[in-house]
Amino acid sequence: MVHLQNVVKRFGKTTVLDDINFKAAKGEFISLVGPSGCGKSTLLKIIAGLHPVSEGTAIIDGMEPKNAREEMAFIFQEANLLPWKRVHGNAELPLKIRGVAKERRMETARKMLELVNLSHALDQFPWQLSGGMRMRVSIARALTLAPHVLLLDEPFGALDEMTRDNLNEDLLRIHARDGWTAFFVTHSAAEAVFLSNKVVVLSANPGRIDQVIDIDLPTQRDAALRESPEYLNYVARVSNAIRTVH
Amino acid sequence: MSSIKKKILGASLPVISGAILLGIWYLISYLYGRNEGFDVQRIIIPFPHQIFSALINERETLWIATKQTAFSALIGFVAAVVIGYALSMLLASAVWVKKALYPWVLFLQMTPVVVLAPIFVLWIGQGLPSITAITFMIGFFPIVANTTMGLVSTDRNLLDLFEMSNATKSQEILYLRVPYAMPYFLTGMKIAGTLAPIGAITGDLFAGSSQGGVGGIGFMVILYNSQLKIPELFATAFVACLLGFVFVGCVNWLHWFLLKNWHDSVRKNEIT
Repeated sequence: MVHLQNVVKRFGKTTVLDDINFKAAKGEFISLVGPSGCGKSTLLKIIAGLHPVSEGTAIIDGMEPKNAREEMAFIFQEANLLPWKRVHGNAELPLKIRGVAKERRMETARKMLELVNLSHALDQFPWQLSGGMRMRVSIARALTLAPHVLLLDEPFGALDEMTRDNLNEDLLRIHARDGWTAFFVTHSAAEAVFLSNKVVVLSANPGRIDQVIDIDLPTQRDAALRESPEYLNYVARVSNAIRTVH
Repeated sequence: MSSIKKKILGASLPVISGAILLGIWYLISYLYGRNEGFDVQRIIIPFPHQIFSALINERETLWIATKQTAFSALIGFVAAVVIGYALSMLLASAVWVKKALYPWVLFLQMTPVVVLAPIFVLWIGQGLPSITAITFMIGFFPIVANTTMGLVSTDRNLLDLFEMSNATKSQEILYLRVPYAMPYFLTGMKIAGTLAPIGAITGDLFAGSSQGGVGGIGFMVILYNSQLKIPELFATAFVACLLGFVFVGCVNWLHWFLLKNWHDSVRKNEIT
């Protein structure tokens, strides 16, 4: 469970986030949307413990973010792979850092790469992969740690729409399997609605929670959902909320 | 034009231009000799074939000299790499360390080595130790400047990734900073590799000695010059040039070998 209480974040004199209160239960998929500069990524990094809060508290599974690192994984804007490591080497990295024995980490990495449909590319180098495939490696790498909380900072922003849709579907499939709690930063209303059960709309300067939109769609979602009127309705509502937020 | 023809033409161009340059050399040598008398001409601007026969006649002496210079260049180069890398690690370890030390590293670099050379000879004597020290001084800075740059410019997101994984400082250095800085380090090494033979020859000019009969290349330069053996001097220049090529070739190979799998500088136009 993730619990944010009166979280304030300042960089120097600028208040980036103000009075953020939010609770996420286990297994929830939460998207953070809002205009540029509203502090979405900063909020994610606070949960990750990469930024300290200026005021308030952030609690993950009863712990301070820094102590809860073992339960969390972060997926970055770019795939953020080590260019000198092959695909399996990149996927193994967190386990290697944790000191897991070679055979075990290879096995785990292979399983996770299979989960993201990359079994055929184990020995490739990142430069040999497409943007979408790189992102899949990044997802597999995050999953090797079997996280309780997955933090995704606009992971598919640079990808074309088709690749992005495919990755969204895969992400939901893995979420249904593993049941981690997800915080997903995105600029796309469609993506937010498709993935989430809650969409948090942030206002800018300073970032505050403007509203939380519950997405009341079936948990089993596939490509067909994108054509349903309920879905399109939600997308319109979220887009509108982002546009009119101040 | 077919690509084979293009390749043949591409390979023959330097040969053709070389032949033209050689022809110009012969012409100048001949014209100079005509005015000054051919005895003078042989001394001041020798014909290329004279240089070639000097090379053949002096081959044993030059071979020993080259080996000596190569040896001191190698020792000085390796010292520059090892100590340079260690210092870069130190400089990159914290901002305040770099602030405190880097200006003095620069200070050392700005002092021309030829000025320091006699002092080295005074302190550690003639021969190999001084020559190595001078080579080291010349090659050391490019290594430090480049490697430090590489170590401190590691991608912010990758550092965050390591922090999220609770990596220790030594894991961060070993798995991230060192490989990330590798292309920078190798660039520094390339520059140092070009300078090492020059450093060794410069060192030899100041600190070379003929203990055991023959000195290094720098020593031979002084010797041949004092005896007005100009073709031999040109032959020495040719040998020094070859030594430089060998050094740079080795470092370039190392650069290619270590980065071939992943770095843009060595893999181009490869499509899967």
